[in-house]
Amino acid sequence: MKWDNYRWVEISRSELLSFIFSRDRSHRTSSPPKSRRLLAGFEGYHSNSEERPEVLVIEDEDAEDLMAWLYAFAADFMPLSMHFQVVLASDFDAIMRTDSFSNPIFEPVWASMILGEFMMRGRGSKVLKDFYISWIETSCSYSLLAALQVYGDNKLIYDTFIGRLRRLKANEQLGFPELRLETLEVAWKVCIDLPDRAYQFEREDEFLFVQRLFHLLESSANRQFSHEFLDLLYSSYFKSDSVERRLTGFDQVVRKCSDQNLSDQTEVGFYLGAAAFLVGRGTSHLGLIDRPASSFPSAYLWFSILAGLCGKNSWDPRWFELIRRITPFLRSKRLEGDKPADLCWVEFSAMERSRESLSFAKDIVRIFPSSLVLELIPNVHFQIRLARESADSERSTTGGSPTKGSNRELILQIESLLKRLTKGLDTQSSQIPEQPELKLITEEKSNRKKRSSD
Amino acid sequence: MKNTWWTNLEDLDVDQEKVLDLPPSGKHVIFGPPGCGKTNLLLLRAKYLYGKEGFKNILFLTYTGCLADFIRSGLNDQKFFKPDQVQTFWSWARSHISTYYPQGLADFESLFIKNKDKKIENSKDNKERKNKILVELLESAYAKAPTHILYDAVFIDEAQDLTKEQIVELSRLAPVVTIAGDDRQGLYGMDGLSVQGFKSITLEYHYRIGKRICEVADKILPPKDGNNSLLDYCLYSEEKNASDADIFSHATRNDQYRAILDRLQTQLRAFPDELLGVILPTNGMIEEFKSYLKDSEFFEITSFHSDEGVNNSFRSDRPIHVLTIHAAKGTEFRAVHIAGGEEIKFPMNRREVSFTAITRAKTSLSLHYSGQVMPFIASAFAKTSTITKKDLFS
Repeated sequence: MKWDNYRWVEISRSELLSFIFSRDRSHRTSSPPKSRRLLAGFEGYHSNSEERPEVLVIEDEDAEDLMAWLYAFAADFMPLSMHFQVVLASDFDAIMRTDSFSNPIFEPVWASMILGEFMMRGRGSKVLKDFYISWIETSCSYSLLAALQVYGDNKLIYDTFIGRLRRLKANEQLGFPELRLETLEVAWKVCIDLPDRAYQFEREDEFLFVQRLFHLLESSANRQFSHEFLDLLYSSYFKSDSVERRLTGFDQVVRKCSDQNLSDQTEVGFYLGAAAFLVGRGTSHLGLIDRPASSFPSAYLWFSILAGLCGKNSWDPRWFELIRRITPFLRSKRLEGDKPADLCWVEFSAMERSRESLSFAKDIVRIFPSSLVLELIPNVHFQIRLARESADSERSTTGGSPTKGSNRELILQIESLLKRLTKGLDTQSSQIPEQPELKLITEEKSNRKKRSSD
Repeated sequence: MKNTWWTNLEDLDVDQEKVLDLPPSGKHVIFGPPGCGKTNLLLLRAKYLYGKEGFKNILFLTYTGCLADFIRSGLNDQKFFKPDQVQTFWSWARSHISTYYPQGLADFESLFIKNKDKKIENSKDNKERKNKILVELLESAYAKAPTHILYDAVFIDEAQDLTKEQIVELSRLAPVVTIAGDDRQGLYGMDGLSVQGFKSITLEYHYRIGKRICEVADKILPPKDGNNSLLDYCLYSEEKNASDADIFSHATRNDQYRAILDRLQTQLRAFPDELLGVILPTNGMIEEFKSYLKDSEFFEITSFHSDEGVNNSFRSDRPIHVLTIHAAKGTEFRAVHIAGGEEIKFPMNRREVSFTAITRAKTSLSLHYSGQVMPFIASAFAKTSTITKKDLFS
């Protein structure tokens, strides 16, 4: 962890302001911290009066109060993430206990998983026709991969990550993608648990591989699934070398899923995804899932995981091209957190909790008009689109509706209310402590009024 | 049009790459069985010379309009020569004669007047007479042209359907001439491929046609002594897409059409983004099939080709193509359905006609008929069965 080499110094609130306003800080102490109410981390071993901290660690219970105070007395310098990396003390503790992680990530699986997530969000394989690389950072799977790469398979970090994604999803003001996190979680667990990450799929092993994935799914989801469907995947239909016959097998799986009225998203999604994959013996027949996947979108995830595991021999040119474009992204240093975020979790959380939703949305939209990069956990980013532009642009590029459809309407309502607020028609008060108006100005105003009335 | 036009150098095998390495001068002929990539290579060589040698003034000729249109679909990228540089031999000849020897135009049009007596029309003498007139017209036009070099390069696909004399006339138009063809696919009894003075390159292997379809094609038109059978040189991969070829007897023509539509319904999903062909023996049957389809969901996604072809019909988003056997020359489809098998009975070249129709299919082939089908066709599709001696007497 790069913070191992930092000098940690306890600072006070007012001292924090001197960092923000670049005042002379020659009086600052550099003794070891007695408490950790506010810790500043400095690069290098030698201090000087010009230096600024790289990281700020804030005690969890102080965070909201500190943020409110800063918005009152240094509003123009907010968000704080513009100046330092800001970390909650609980995150800091968890991270400092984490050993650096060096296990390789099986890139084709995660690259495929990202595609699967977007298809699930867009409810269709057509999303991939105009796939933009810039979308990757809006993928939950991409964010999780960053967490895995930075912290390894660390339960504490994983739970924090999931918990925060859930909070984002629950916030109606944000354009969180329309997807079931629970479905993604099962798929993620399977991918994390893959026993043989460097496994290269051999052509004749495809059924064996479907079976292996099925058992992994059962153990990760901790449930017993129907083997009746698995038998169907092993039937002569799918073993035939005739693609038309395999297609007949696929139609039987679809019929059986609807006849039996199965509702388990994960289970049905797996059968459908695997069946479509077996029809093409690769990714060529992805489009077959589009119709049944409108009810069982997780089929895209399982199809994608199989494609990732089977490797490039199973990819059609389009899939190959997409993976080729995504993979360098997964390898790049971006995942290691050198990229700045718009808002750290501390700030986001404080803003979200301490204000009424209306003011919260106003602040976010004012600062970052269309999307913002959140530091979900230190060095792990997630780009979330705000409703104003995302709903339109994403819908037009994906042909689907990956963000909440009602967001645009909501934002228009918010804007209208905000106009009323600024005109003083609304008496709703913010929880931000307001600085008292200076007497001098008040007197001057009253003198002006007097003069005009004269 | 997935898997139709090659998009990577890696798609080519060593022999195919040799065609691209041919010198940018002289006269070359490419021989090869159906599916060996002749048309693809001819187009790639034309593009290569266009880009590398600056041969912008290119003439690319085919025999049928449908094939010309099919080749134009491989020129979507706009980086190379323009689609209108691909022409049929006949449309080019008309334009050439009207430009340089307009007084010969009436004689040219007379070539299209058919004798009511089919025997006379199809006779060797009549063909030779028409060929002589045409060649003389081309000679006269060439003599009147302002320069002897009219093009940078000329490319001719399906050259087996032209005569030697016609090829010689075309060879005078440019310093670089490349022709391609296969004698087994000749439908008109022409001898264009026996033209002298061309350096030949032979492609032996083919990748397009499934093994089962090769078996049927080889039985329909067995290779001449010493020549390769399609099956022996087949490199089609059966692992993902096993090939099949079947023959079906139906009570009526409409039953044939119904069976084809049922199968197409599955194949549209089984072969996404691929072309599917319905090949019919006559233009009359195309009209019949068109009216059968009129009220069905297939009508909007089907292209109907006449012998002269329709511009851009292969570039549209219509996956199903309906065409005659003659128009189908040079084209290829993932699945081919031949209806009206009972109509394939005219005396001349019926084996070549059947061979051409059958070898348009890559993976799936079905032939439908009502009544009788020629025994050599029935035999070609026949599969071995478990019949015993006892069954002969039961």
